[in-house]
Amino acid sequence: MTSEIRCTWLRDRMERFVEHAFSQDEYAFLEEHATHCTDCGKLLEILSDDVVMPESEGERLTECILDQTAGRGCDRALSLYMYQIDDDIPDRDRELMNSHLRYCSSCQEVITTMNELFPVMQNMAELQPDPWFATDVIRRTRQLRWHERGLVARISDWWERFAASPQFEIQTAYVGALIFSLTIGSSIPSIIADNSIPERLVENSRTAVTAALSPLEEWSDAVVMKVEEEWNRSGGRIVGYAESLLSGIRRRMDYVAPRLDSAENHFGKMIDAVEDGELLDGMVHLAETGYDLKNAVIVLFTHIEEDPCHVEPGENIQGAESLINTTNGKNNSTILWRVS
Amino acid sequence: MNVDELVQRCQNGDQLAWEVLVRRYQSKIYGIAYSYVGDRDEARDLAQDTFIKVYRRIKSCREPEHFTTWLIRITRHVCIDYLRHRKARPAIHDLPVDDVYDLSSTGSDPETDLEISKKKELVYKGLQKLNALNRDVIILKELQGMKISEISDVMNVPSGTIKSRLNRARIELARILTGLIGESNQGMVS
Repeated sequence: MTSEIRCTWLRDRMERFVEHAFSQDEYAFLEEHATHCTDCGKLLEILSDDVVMPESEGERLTECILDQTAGRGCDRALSLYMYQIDDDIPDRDRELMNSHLRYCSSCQEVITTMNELFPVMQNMAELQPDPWFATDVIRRTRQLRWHERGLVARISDWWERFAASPQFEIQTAYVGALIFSLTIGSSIPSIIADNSIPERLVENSRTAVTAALSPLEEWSDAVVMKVEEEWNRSGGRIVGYAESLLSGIRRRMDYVAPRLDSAENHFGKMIDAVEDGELLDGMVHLAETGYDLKNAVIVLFTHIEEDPCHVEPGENIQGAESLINTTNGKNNSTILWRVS
Repeated sequence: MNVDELVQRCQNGDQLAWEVLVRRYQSKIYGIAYSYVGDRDEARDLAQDTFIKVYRRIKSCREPEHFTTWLIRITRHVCIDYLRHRKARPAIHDLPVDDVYDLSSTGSDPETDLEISKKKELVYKGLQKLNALNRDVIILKELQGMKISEISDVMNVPSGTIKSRLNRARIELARILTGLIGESNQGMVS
């Protein structure tokens, strides 16, 4: 008979042993086994003495027996304990669990830890990142959006934001004026001085920009055609911008239409001023509306007036950059950047 | 503005709504990422990657009223993918004192704050020692306070499985934390 079988044999007959119901042979067998098996030897020693067992010894014995039999019930008891957090458990299971937890110090320790630390987790749903985190994310997504969308779509997006801005009409008039001025370039002084060639240029541009600000559906065609005809030597970029602006404007037509009337009014005054040879007055009119481009407008046209013969389109942009730098409005820089 | 409306605006390309959404959810996403990786820099990168994914996929969020669950699902995928590719998990360093203090959120008594911070730090350490599956369910249930049905939805696993996994996870975490406390006490004695 193997040692394991002998242990099993003993445990099956423990009740009879305690009641002194063993036969002589059974006693002999047990004594022989106890010399080899420490646990059974200890058990035999304890049970043989008619003494009151100390509680700690009893617990140790219980643990010893449990370890030797089905294994200790820690996993099952803890599992029941965890279950009861979310769901109710049957009374019988609760009784078994409590019975185990009452005597198992390791489980008590685990539960103490759990009761102490698990509630903290309820306040760990969020953790504040550094203050620049959100800005970085927004910048990255903006770049992503920028790269993933085509140029026209990007400009249309810009236009939508632009059209929604509170100072849309003034800005629109300003952008029109700026495009007008930059694309005409050094012709401005000669327009004023010479009535022969620039007249057609002024008339075409007037038609184009006026058309752009009034009937919205016709705006792009007019701008594209006229600008393409007259100013594609400037690199053709303006054509693309005009198309973009149109698609943007179409999407916001209802919102933009009434405000464009106002813009057209401002711009019309500037065009009239150009035709009268008083461009600066026209721009000053825009500035007088209170928009913060006042300084910018004055500086731009002072610059053009001071050096009328050497202002090429590229230089105009530089000049405009310097004028924009004199203003505080962020939108101004954005407008210039788009236009350039 | 409620989340539904914000999400719908984002789906229509409203950049301002997107900014609001990022600022509203940054702490949650960062918190989840930190729970998975236990490192601030890595968590920051993961949280950013999550937002990029969300930005790209926001139009596919068909139920804006369940946006938070959808967001957590994406965050979880980003973190789990990252952990899969991370060859060796670096040792968990003790957080600098300043960082530890950051982990508290009560803003009341400094001593209480410090105590809570230490507990949180211990939990974060424990999370890093957890089995990956168990950590997953603990983060969603105990930290994020999701319902079993929501976790089931996020993990695409039956509710019953989630319940039993949650039990095992709680036991494992409690034992790990007990061990960590023991180590900590021994360190103080020696």
